[in-house]
Amino acid sequence: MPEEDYTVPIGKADIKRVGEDVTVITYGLCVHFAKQAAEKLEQEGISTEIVDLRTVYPPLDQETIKAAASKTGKVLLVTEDNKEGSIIGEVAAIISEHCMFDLDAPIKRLAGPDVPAMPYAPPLEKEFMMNADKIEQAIRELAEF
Amino acid sequence: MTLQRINMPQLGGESVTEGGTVSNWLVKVGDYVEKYDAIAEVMTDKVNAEVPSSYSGVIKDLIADEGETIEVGQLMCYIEVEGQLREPVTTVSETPAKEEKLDSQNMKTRYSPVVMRLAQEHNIELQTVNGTGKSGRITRKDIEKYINNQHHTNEAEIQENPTEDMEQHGSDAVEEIEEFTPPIIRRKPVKAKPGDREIPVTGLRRTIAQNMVRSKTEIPHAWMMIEVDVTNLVAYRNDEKNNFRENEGYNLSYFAFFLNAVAKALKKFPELNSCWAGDKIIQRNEINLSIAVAHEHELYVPVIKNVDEKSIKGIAKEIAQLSKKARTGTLAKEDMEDGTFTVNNTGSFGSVESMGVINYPQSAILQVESIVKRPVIIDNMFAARDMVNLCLSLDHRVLDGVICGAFMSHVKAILENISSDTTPIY
Repeated sequence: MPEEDYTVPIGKADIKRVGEDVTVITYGLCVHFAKQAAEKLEQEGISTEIVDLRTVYPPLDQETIKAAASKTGKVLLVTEDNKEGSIIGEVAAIISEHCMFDLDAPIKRLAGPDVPAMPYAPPLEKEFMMNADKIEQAIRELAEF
Repeated sequence: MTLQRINMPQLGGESVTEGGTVSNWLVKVGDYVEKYDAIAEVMTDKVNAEVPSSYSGVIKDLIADEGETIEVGQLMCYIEVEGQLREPVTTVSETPAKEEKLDSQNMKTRYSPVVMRLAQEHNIELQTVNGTGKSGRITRKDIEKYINNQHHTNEAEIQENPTEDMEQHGSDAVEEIEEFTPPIIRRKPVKAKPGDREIPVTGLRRTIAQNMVRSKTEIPHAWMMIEVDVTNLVAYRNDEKNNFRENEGYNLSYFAFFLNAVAKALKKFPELNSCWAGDKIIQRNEINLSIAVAHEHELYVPVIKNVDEKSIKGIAKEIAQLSKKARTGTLAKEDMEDGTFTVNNTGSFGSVESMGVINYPQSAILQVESIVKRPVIIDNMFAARDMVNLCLSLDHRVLDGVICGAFMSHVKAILENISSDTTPIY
């Protein structure tokens, strides 16, 4: 947190981490999980680029998304939301529309399961929730692809 | 039903783990084979052989590709055998390995869009790129690395030229010279026109091609030719040949005399009986002469061992035996090993001058050309003499003109002085 007053620009995504192997595009709490996973994976020699979307609707920062996806060709999209109908589906569409010839792997989505609501039982809630381990595993799979 | 593996058998006698190259599959997936049926033609560096099936069953999966060299004991193919599981343990453990292999073959040629794009932009043949991704897939990073390496090679080549110039001008150039790596030149595709016949390169033809390219690209060849007056030899041999044929049952060839002379000369000049071994030159103790024998479209190079210890008769006998073996295709691996110097009878097809390609890793080859009657001036008078050209190709790393000149003169002297006194047949 900066000491002085500051504003976050609308419609401008932020590159939280620069990397070569896999691009993670996400927002909110998952940015922090992704950073934890990336730090861990760096020790294994896997270099991760992390994009924080910051603004999800509208407009998405298409230029940053395209540049980051094209850079590594391996894209992991992460959300806490259900997989179907979440904002990362839109991000995937932007990438496949513009970056087809830069892709080295299928665009991968990591999201909550397609169930109506957050379960009440703690083990199920844990299963639903995103965490750093799940992201780490998904990044590793993409890096090895 | 059980899956069994067929491994590369040990071919030839004493060589222990030397592998073979699969030159031809004689079966395809789905074929039924009986036990001991030939399933593949395999070639070691000298011998063609057929690999028999160890089981009766249906061929399931050919693991080794044609042209691939595999070690003794390594997997060639899988066969599905009918009946009882005799070795269930091996079968179970082998099955996943097979799946993995199949999988890796699949992914190796499955390219992502970015890989296809980069390959096209940089004109890269993807088969030459090593894939490090899942199941051998070529990733974007693999191809970028490949492109970078290409650039480095190019830069190195460009830098090499100025160094050479400086040295030629004799200035105080730096002594350190980078090791020369020849540029990689891609072969242009050659297309057959309608009506042309395409003959696949397999087996021995491929081995010959590889050996020739290796010899001509690695060895700096130099050439030398002398002409020898063999009138005495021709007269001597003509006197003896009918008798010899009657007594021994095979021909007394000129070639035996040439081999005898070469062996004697090699004894005196062991420098030519040697090979280049990178940081040293190995001078061979034994004088084993390789002789080239052509049969149909194939060229064999059997070896006569310890020629210096043999009489003309002994040499003629071995020539006759080896030629017969070559014609009947029964030359064994041992017949073609351990040559130290090659003598090639190019005269047998009428050649009067030729430049031989050295039989790698030897350091010289001598071509014996046709014996031709020619007018020669002796004591200011014309005389009709039997003349022959001897052409020597030498590895200029090992040998120089002076020593080879001396060697050739010695061979010439021996041949010109052949008579029943100097060279008894028995």
